[in-house]
Order: sequence, then structure tokens, then C-alpha cells
Amino acid sequence: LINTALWVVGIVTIPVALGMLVAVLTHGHRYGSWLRLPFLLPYAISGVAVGVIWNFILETGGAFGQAIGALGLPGEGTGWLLQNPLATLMMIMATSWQGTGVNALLFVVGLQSIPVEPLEAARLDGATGWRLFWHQLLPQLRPITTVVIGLSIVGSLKTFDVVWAMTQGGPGTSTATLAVTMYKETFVVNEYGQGSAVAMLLSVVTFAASAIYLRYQLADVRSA
Amino acid sequence: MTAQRKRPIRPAEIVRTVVLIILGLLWLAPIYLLLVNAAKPVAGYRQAEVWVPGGFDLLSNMADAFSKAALGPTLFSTLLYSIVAPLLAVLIGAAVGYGIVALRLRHGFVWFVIIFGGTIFPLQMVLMPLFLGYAGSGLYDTRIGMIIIYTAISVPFSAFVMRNFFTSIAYSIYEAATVDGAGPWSIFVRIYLPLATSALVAIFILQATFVWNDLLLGLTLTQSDGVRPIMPALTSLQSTYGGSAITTVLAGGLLVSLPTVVLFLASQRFFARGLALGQF
Repeated sequence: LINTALWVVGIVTIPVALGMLVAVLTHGHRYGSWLRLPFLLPYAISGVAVGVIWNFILETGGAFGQAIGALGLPGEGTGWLLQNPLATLMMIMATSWQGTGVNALLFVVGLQSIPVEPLEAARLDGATGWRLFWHQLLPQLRPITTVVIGLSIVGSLKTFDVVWAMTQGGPGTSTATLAVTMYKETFVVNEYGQGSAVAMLLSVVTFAASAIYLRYQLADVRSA
Repeated sequence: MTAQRKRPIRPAEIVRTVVLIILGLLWLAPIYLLLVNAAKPVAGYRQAEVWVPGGFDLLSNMADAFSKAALGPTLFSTLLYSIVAPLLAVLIGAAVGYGIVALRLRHGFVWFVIIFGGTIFPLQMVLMPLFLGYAGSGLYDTRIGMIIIYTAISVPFSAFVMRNFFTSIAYSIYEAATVDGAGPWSIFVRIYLPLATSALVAIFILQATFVWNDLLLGLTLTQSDGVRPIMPALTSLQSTYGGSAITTVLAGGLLVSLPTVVLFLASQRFFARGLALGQF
């Protein structure tokens, strides 16, 4: 459960922030849609394949370790997936790799719906760069941000395929999210009761998260 | 966005581009590793040289993965699922949207909530009852069973989008067609469906990708090679490390990712559209 919490926080902050960064940077850029392509590509790849790729990269002494070593950082021989919480962090990284593109795409859609006039006015008033982003873009992006965060929360709670393909919840049960625990209890260990209990818990948590998020979203729509 | 003004390149522009290129390269690195190492001959693979390209045995590696994981029949089943199920779902979803919006079904919104409400709950919740139900009814481990479940899962999203889409079509079109003597059925088939083509395609692509990439349902509801979809097959290829070299596993991963990646690249605009449609 604590793992699911760490997982949710990781998935909600990192890909959302990165997605927004990519969207804002590519928005209005001459080659924006081309520069966005690398981020979108992983989205089309399935969770299982993402797991396979990252498993390979994160092998002890594998590509990731070598890159870290080449940068002069310690930890070249670390078993990235063999201990927790390191393994969870690594899986958050893999999921972020996959998920940033969609978020960027959603933010781009949001950015395109923002009227240009206030921005021009602010620019004339001398607002630039960071201040323009913070005072103008961010408030106007709020509705779409709510949507993206909501989707991320619900999506991260249900995460199964990446974890299953990378660690199967191991070592032990240390990296299992609720979804993985549920599957294991029910179909591997054949503890139907346990599995159902976990499924119920997962449903309650997801439902609560969705309800909170829907309320916010509806409030937004009403005030808009 | 489309109307780019000509202007001198400002420093901020350069910084933006550089940041994007660096991030983009970071994002492409795993794909580079996948391509390079999936192409290495099994015997030529050294862990210390993962970053260095070497050899081109991609096709034989793929063939190896193909035979080891018995991907042939699996591929066929998965293709079947990811074409038939989204197609059915799109049509059913459109019919639902049409019924609620154009035919002004009584308590339409309640019906909509009933159909859409299920998606709030995670799939895992229904997994157990689904498994027992499938086992009891003989649908377990059959292709029909898989098509039914994938269709059922895809309908809510499609109904959601189509309802929103049909709301944006002026009701007077419906009235005009009625005056001209068209029945509800022919208005649906000859006016509403053609109007919605782009939305239908967008949903179809999204759902086809989902079905192709699904792991959980395939893992739970199937058993035999011929019925089991491709993602569970890939995980089992990975876990039987004893027999298959890492290059083979990677080639397999690449092989099963190709269709969705190609579909995605070919229809990027539709993807963006589909996501945007889901927002309202």
C-alpha cells in the first residue's frame, strides 16, 4: 500500500510536470510537432514491451549502469531492480518515459484553446519568460491540468503491466502495487478471499480519487 | 500556430530548441538500445558493449522469438481481437450516442451514466467474478469470449465520445431528415454515421491500441497459445529466460510493438483528436 502511495505521487508529479514542460516548450515552436515526436513514440508501445526494454537497460552492469558510470557518478554495479525503494523509483522512471507524451499532447490541446490576446497584452506590458508562464499560462491551463492529474491518479492506481513485466512485484512483495497484489493473491496463490479484499480496497481508493477529481472538475466547469 | 510570422531567431528560441533536443535524445535512448541490441546476433552479444551497435540479425532474432513463443497463432488472435472488438464497440457506442442525443431517449442521461459509470471502477474489481463467470459458462479460453470482453470494455469510452460528438450536430438536421421522410434507422446510417467518420476512426484507433496492448485480461481469461493474446505471450517469453537469449526477447518486444507504433505514427492527428474528444 505504501508502495502504491509512492507510486501514485511519482506518476502524478513527474510525467505531468515533464509533459507540461514539453508542451510549453514546443507550443508555437516552428518544428514543434517534430520535436514532440520522440516523447509520443513510447506511448504507442505497450506496458509489457516497456517493461522488457527497461528490464534490459536496468540489468546489473547494463546500459543504465554504464551510462551512470560514464558520467562519473557512483553506483555503476548497482542492481537497480533488486532492492526497494530503488526498484519502485526505476519503475516510475520507466512509466514516466512512457506517459510523458500523452500528457504533453493533452497540454498542447489545452494551450491551443487559450486565447492569444491576453498573452499579447502581457507581452506588451513587458512580461517575459517565466513570469509569462507563471501568471498567464498556468492559471489558464488549470482545467486541463485537472484532467491530466485526474487521469494520472486513476491510471497509476491501476498500474499492472509495467510492474508485472519488470519485477512481478518482487523482490518479495516489496514493489507490488495494489493491482499486482490483487492479481497475485487471486490467480497465483489462489487465495480468492484475499484477492477479492485487495480488489475491493483498490476500488474504494480509485473511486474516492475519481470522486474528488470529478468534483473539482465540475466546479471548474461551472465557474468557467 | 499555423501562421508563423517571420522573425529573427531570439536567444530564448535557441534555448528552447536545445532543451527539447536534449530531452528528446534522452527519450530516444531506450529505443536506440532496443533497436541496436535486438539486431545483434545471439552469440555476438556482450553486456559491456550494449551501447555499441554490432551485426544485423534482427530478422533471425525475430523469427526465433516468433517460434519460441509460438507467436503465429497468437498474432492472428490478437489481430482478430483488436479489429473486431473496437469495431463493434464503435458501432454500439455510436448507436448509444444516437439514441440518447438524436432520438431523445427518455431518461437518456441516466442510461448514459449507467453505461459510463462502470469505467470509474478499476478492471481488477471485476476480474474475479469475470473469471468465475467465464469458467462457468464455457467462455474461458475461447476467442468469442475474448472478443466479448474487449468489446464490452471499449463501449463506455466510445459511447461517451459519440454522445458528445452527436450533441454538437444541430438537431435541426434530424428534424429536416424526418420531414423528408427518412426513418430513424436510415438517418443513423446515412447521416449521423458519415458525419462522425473522423471521430469513429479516432476511437477505433485508440481502442485497437488498447486491446493490442492489454495484458491483464489476456493473462486472466486465457490459457492456450491459440487464444492467448500477444502481450501475455511476450511476458512468458521473457520469463523463460533459460531458453531465450536477451536479444531474442528484445526482438520479440520490438516485433509486437511495431503494429501499434506504425498505426500511431500513421495516424498521429487522429490520436490527438481522439484524446481531445475525450475531454469534453
